[in-house]
Amino acid sequence: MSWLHSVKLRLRALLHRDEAERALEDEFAFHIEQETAANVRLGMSPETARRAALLAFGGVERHKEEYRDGRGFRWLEETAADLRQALRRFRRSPRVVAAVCLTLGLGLGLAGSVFAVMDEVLFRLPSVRAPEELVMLRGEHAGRPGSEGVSWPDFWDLRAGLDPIESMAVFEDAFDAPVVLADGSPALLGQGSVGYRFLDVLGVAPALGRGFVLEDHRDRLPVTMVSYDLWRGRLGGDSTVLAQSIELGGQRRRIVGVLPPGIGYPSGVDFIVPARETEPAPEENQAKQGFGRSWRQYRVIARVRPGQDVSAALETRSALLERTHPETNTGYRVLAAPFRAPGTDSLRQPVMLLQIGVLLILAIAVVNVASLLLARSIRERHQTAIRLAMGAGAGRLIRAGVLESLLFAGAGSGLGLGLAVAVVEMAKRITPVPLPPGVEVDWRVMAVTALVATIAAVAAGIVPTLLAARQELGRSIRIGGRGVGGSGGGSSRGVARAQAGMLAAQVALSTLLLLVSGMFLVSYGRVSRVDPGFSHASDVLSVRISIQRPKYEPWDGFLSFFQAVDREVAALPGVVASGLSFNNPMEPGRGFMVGFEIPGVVDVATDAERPTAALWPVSSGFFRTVGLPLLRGRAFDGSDGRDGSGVVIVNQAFVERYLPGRDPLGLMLEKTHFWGDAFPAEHRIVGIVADLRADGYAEDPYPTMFFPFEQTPFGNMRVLVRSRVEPAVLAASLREAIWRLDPAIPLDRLERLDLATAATLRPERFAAALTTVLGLAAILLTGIGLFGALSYAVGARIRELGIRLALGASPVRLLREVAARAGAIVLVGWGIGLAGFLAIGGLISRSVFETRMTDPLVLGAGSVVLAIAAALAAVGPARKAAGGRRRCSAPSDVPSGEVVHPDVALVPGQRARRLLDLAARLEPGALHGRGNEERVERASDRLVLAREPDPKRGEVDRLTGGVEVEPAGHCRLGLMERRPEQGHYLIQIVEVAPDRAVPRHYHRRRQCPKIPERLDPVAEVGAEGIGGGPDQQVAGGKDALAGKPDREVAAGVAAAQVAHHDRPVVATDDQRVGHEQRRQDRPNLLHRGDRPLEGGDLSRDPRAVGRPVGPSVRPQPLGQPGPKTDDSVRQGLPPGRLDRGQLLRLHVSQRGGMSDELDPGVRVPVGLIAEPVIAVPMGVDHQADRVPGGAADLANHPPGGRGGALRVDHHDVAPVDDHQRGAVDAGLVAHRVVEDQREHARGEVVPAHRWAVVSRQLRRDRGDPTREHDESDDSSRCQQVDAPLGRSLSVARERRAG
Amino acid sequence: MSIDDHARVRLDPGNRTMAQSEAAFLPGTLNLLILKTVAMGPTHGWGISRRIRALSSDVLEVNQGSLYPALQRLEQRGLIDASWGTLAEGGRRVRIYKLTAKGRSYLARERDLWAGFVTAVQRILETT
Repeated sequence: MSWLHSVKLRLRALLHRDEAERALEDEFAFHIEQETAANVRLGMSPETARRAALLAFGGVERHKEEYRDGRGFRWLEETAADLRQALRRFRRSPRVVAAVCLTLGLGLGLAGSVFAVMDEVLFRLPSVRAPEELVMLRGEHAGRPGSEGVSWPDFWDLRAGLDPIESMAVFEDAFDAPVVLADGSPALLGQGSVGYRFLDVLGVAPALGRGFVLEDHRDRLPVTMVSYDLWRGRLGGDSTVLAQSIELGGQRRRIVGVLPPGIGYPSGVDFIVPARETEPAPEENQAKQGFGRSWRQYRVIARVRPGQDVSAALETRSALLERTHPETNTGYRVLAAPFRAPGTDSLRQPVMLLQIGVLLILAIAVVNVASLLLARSIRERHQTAIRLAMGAGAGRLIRAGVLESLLFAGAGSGLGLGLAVAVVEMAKRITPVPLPPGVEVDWRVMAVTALVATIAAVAAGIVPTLLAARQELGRSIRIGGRGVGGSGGGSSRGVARAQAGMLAAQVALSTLLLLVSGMFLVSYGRVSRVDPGFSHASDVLSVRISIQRPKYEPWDGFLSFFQAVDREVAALPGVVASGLSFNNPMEPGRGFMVGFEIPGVVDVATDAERPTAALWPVSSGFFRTVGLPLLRGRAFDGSDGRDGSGVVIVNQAFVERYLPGRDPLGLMLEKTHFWGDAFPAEHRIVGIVADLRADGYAEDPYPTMFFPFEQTPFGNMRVLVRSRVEPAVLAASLREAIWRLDPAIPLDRLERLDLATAATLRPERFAAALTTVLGLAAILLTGIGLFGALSYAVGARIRELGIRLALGASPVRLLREVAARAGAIVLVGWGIGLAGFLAIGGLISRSVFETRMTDPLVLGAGSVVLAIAAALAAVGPARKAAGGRRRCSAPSDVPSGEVVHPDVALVPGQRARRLLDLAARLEPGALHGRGNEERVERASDRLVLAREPDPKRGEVDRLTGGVEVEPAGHCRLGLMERRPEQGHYLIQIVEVAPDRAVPRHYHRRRQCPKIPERLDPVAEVGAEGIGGGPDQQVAGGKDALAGKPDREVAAGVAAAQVAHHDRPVVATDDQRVGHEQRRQDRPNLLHRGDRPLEGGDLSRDPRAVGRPVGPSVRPQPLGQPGPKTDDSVRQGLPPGRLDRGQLLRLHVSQRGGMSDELDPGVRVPVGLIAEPVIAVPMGVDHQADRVPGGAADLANHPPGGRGGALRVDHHDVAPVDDHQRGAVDAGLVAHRVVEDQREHARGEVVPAHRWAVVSRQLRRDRGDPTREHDESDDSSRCQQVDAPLGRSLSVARERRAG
Repeated sequence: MSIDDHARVRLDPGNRTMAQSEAAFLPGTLNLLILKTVAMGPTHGWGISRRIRALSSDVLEVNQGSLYPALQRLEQRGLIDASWGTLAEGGRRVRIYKLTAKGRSYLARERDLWAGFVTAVQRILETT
């Protein structure tokens, strides 16, 4: 149980961190005190004693860290820190976060709703026992399309001899049957039938009552089972249902049971009746019984024994049947099909397409998010670099990135699921989309969506994270926190390329989706404009008259009933025309196809060659009612009744197809049917009508034969009524009239013909709506992505653009530049998308109506939408680039004619004009690389106008000018003049801030023993623009940095920027502050910033603006004065270790008593290459001034020659172990560790007394290169160290070279 | 005790006495030393370090700082128990470590192992 014990202790430490921290503090302090006391007893002076005690203890901070490591749950604390960091990042860039969440939400919302449909259509199985064991058997006839059922005799034979099948049963799906319920109300209900043991095959039990038993089937007893829904609904939902009965076909059927819910089959039933269970009659009698082998009316469900191969057995049996019954079974096979939810087969393909579409959308969203995050990570490279330099491992960064991705995933899937629920609900309610009723966003959908969200977010986040973690430190810091976006160093060019690639991919995908949706839209538009072939639809009511046949048997009763209906309806007030029809016009899928012959014209030898046409029984009023024009001949009239000779009216398509070039009138159609002798077998063509689309808009008109309904045995006709009165009024009188004839006729489904026919457009409308939604989502996402990327690119270049504007570039040119970039991306993406569309368009063109993929409307419209979206996305950034939004006004004395950019405040005054003159001469050639002697070095936001020396040009040759622009319009122009004769540079700096009327000028003189050929961008790192640039170290800058791994430099730069350039750095030791004041205000030495470092902080501070180069000096008391070193360090330190990537705000004594020479950051990177890359002293107390090498001392001896070691030197000689005298307490050191060829930078908080050790180590390095890490030494030697670090540096370098 | 700890003891610059000779603490030694000293009676961290120094006649010096993480690990393993006590002189709050029953049996086991190890090494070294 020791792990339990350990966990308990760790948990306690985690929960009571402050207490644990205090305990640690006390314990260590006690130890050191005791040791000191012991040393004193041995005769040491108190000071020495304490020093010795500290040395013996060895690195208080390090041991504390070690202790902390072992104490709680490191990873938990780190994760919490990462979480806080992520939230801070979110706060910092809320717009990016919003864009990411919305993008993910949109993508996931669509994905979620499709998942919901997919779940239902593809994966949901009826709730039966072991659905995987079930198969559906279907027949297939060689040479005939589609699948067929199974006939009763075939089923009987199959069941007898199929070993792999455990049990099987027949059933029939629902058809509408008129019934009378127990309360006497007529209803049209779905009637199905099931064979013996159907429920056993499914493995379910009745919800109520009993299932059918053998007797029910064998003796065809008048019993029925009702569906669960009917029972819960119209039948009351209680057990009294078992006492009720349903009147069906004049026979009362007792309800014996209720089907369980959700079994799916027979589909659409409200009630079921038992199917037969009798041995098939001998073949010759079968026809009479109506159940011959060719009557393949049954569907079959079978339960397969586990592991058995049912297909082979079916094949064998089918072949056997083929041999024994060649006349009926030739070419007939019974096959096993997978068991699925009913009604989903037709949806499978659309859903798959939908899924592909949604995956494309998701891909766009992911790419979009990735590019947003990439842009942000570039913006935040600086921070990342600092974290890396301070020792955060790539792993930690990646972990933090993934954590952030998970947050995004959470937010995105939350939004997405909300959207998905809304979409599904809307799809169910508003559009008449034939969604399966079970579609809903349930937990399965949620889980899948959340999973997809996680994958998507991590996928989107991983690229920027990896790039950030692997970034080349030097470059990234050179690029700095301000980004360069597409015009700077190699890596940023790479990033720009990656971003452009992502954008192009997005554009390509959305082009694809747009074109596809365009295709469906165009198709829909065409379909809905198709002439249906009939008119007057909006004022025609239609209702099916379903009669209970037995009541009217034989046929005469039937006939006279419908004749009566026809008559009664025609006599209703307001009726213009009425008629009976077998179908509604345009009612899809209800046509009966029948064969025919026309002797002498269409002759056939065998049955298979018989031509077919759709059969459509109508009454004489039909044509007038629906407005179908008679082209030739006559309509039906009273003489074409039961007793008259057979007549038929055919449509135009029939004539064109079968009787081209003939006069069809008077021709005789023979052998049209097989429904017995009571009906005429020959029909004379008496009329020709126009074409009418019988089977939906998209189908071509089919050859159709209209028969007088009296001459066919089809019951259940529709009544179509055209009237002048309101549909509601007509409906009432219609019901009344029909119910007068037979009150048992259900008339629930009375509909307007136009609405009924509109329903046939559903699939087209659905596809069009769906793809439009997808296409719009795609274009929206792409637009967002394009906007984000362009905004970012422009934002990153805004200073450069501003400078160029200020230097006289025309806004139009900048606008064109941005637009051209957007245009190029869009064009490439469009090309790829178009190619993709042409590759797959063929597949889609099969499922659309009269629309080719190369339709100019499709291609044109899609491309125009894309272009508009791209233009909308680009207009904002482009305007911004051209300086459309001005944030600051120009100073009053700006030279006339100069353009003022929001981010550039022009510099008035003599010097500024000179600068601008210079710049004007450089622009535009310089900025575009025209002319070989002029060149532009652009690094970061600084534009350095560098010129090669050119003796012919006089003064200009000796000038190098630069402009540095900071946010908020703070601008600094620098002019450097080399004066080799005098051995120095003269640097003139002009600063202007928007809120200052008078610019500031000042000069600096820098000694330059060696004059650099030109400013090196590398050396420019951390410089205060041009002003701080040329310096001794920089002069040798490139040399000094040559061969250094970027990382090394970066570590230094990062630390340097922590220390200086990024100015979380605030002096505490300001000379203006009085002695006592300083004492009280002594701040926490190391303050854990609540925000990560951000560039440009200072320049936003009004107090800082306009100050001379270098950080402002202002006291910033923070926290209580610490009574002791360790305390103050502890208060300031985060509980975690610094090298885990915590960003710290350092309050560094910076200028204080030291000379101005200390401040430019330039110096630092060069010196940083030493083992302790940089040491940042904190809280140098005034007392230190007295110490040799302390601040005062340093002021007297500018450590220019010492590189960045000055601070280390400072520690070298400080009385390091006596915090009462308040020397140096602790420092942040980023140092490079060389271990077995592996190098890594890490940062460490090193307590004060170890500074001595550090510098000693350096000293030792010079003498004994092998002992890099041995930090221990005799304490007394500390005092002797005064060697300039610069030299040790070179030693280190030589050693590495050697 | 992990290899890590071993390395730390050996490499720690504070441990001059041992570090300067090439011989190093063997794995587990620090734990053993700590447990043994704690077994002599409950004491605080400094006391432990004192005892080790004193008992080894200043030959062995545990790096004082690394003592505490070691104590922490032992506590987490349940071999020792830590509680706050007050020092007689000055009334200072100190953390007192004492051996648990589990620690006691662990110590006994380890001591036997150590003895066996030393004997074996001794035997080899004394072979002429």
